Amino acid sequence: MERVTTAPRPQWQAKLDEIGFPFHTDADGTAYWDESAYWRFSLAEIETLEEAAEEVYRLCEEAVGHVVSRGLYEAVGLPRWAAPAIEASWKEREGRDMPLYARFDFAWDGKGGPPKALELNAETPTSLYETAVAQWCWLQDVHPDADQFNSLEEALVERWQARMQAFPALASQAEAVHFACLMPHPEDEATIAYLQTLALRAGMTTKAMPIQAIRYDDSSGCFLDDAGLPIRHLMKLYPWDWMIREETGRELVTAAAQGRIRMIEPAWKMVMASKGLFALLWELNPGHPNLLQTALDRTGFPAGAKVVAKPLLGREGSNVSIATLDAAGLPVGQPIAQTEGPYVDEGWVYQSFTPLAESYGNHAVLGVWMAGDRACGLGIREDRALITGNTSRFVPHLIAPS
Amino acid sequence: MKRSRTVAALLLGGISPLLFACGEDGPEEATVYPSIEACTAEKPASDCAEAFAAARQEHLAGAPRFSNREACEAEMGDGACTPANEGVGSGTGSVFVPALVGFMIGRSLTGGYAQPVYFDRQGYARSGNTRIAETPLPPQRRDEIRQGSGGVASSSGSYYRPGSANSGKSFTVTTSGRSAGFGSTGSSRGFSGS
Repeated sequence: MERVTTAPRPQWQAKLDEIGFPFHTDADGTAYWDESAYWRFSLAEIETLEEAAEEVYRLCEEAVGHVVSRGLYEAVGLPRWAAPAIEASWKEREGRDMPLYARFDFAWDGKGGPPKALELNAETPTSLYETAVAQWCWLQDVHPDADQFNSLEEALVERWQARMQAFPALASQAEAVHFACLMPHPEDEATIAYLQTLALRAGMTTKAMPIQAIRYDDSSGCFLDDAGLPIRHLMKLYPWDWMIREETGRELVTAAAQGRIRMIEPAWKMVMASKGLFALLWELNPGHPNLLQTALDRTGFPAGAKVVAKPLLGREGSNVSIATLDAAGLPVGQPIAQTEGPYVDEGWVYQSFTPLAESYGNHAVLGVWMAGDRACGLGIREDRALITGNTSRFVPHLIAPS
Repeated sequence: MKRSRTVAALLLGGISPLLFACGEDGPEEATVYPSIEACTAEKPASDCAEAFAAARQEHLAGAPRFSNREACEAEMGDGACTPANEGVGSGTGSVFVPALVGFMIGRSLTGGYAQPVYFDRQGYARSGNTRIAETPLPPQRRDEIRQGSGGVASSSGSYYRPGSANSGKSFTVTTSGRSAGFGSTGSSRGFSGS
């Protein structure tokens, strides 16, 4: 793999506007979508990433099963009272509580060792449209004869079709899927609209609404939409671990546990989305070539180890710090890098530091997309800093013709 | 091949947009014009007329059909329906279809495609080639009524339409139950995924 610098398409901003992606430039005028470079892969490299992602996903599923069967919810930062929804959905994970998607973050430079999984964004992964559509159109415009690790859209349409098979009422359109996110929020609304588009293509009836407009009817135990109709299937671009702590969170746990509402992602995904899962992954699979040493306490690392501390339920690269630890697990001197943020309450997970692919000071994290348990796409985020955050640039990729 | 054969771009026009596969720009280029006027500003008028006719044909072929205007409006919203067979035959056996609200526009390896999208009066979106009348959703509850404003405007990239989708008139919503209270954590933290 190699980073290639190149001239952006003339009027690249207009081209992105045209395909419904106006979010290419950050508020401060810097590019979020960055086509002044791309990453070039060989097919063999892509296959290595694909295999690593499917392997680690399998281990993640095993780890969720381990948490559920032993009730280890505290270890992943979740309250025990959420267990009924998690356990009921886990039983139906092959059918009516099937997962939709997730995105791994991998560190790998294509040389030396195998790809290392940093984390799994199993609930509300960002950069979906950039990956599935914007870089697809870029490739089609610039290198139509090259290929791209990007069957994400097709794979997601197939997931919606699988869901229709599990629910005859969705197939007959007697029931609909509601799509909810915070509104107003242009980026999230666009993501929700894209997911809705794919569900429409699969043949479903859909409805978008603000998550704030959802209502709860105490007499029926049902959640209602803004027209007063019951919500049977809810795709929410909003984390479970927040919903359960909001006003009707316990009612949601009960309704989901009893199948009155089917959530996308299902409740078991909140276990998979916890950063604490990676500590358990290491405990269950110590030394696995695609994993990094990860633990909930920092005393187990050798003196002098460079370690990354992340909030258990953190997001967007917030509150992450990188430091060298002494024999007692205490940081030596100032952190090597750190970010601010709001996630300071719910515990920490510590992971051995591993370098990202780097080219001329650009650090690239490889986002491998999963549809169900299948790896189906790659989206790359770059930053001058060591910690990838929500302003890191999206850089397209291609697979060089062999 | 490790990439999708087609992708769906997020373009949903408030008025019927037109997907125009531009011959001179090569088969991979596609441009959307919101109206025949916008099209003729850049293209020969005959090409625009032909393309609009093709889009309309696709709409009429795929739109959900109702046997009369009342049945159509009951589902799709007041004033939202038009006869499907205007200009054809003597007008006997009229069929009503919802006015086209927008197209899902996409790109494929060999060009573009457009699939019609319709909204019913409660904001449910369906794609073309769906026979809505055969499988109605539960009837709207009318026990509590309040006034609101419908809207025809739709912005690119969003299917969310407050209230009635395609009627400019007042609409009916219920206020059953209580607010579920979702969204408070994210509103305070500026959430946007991970």
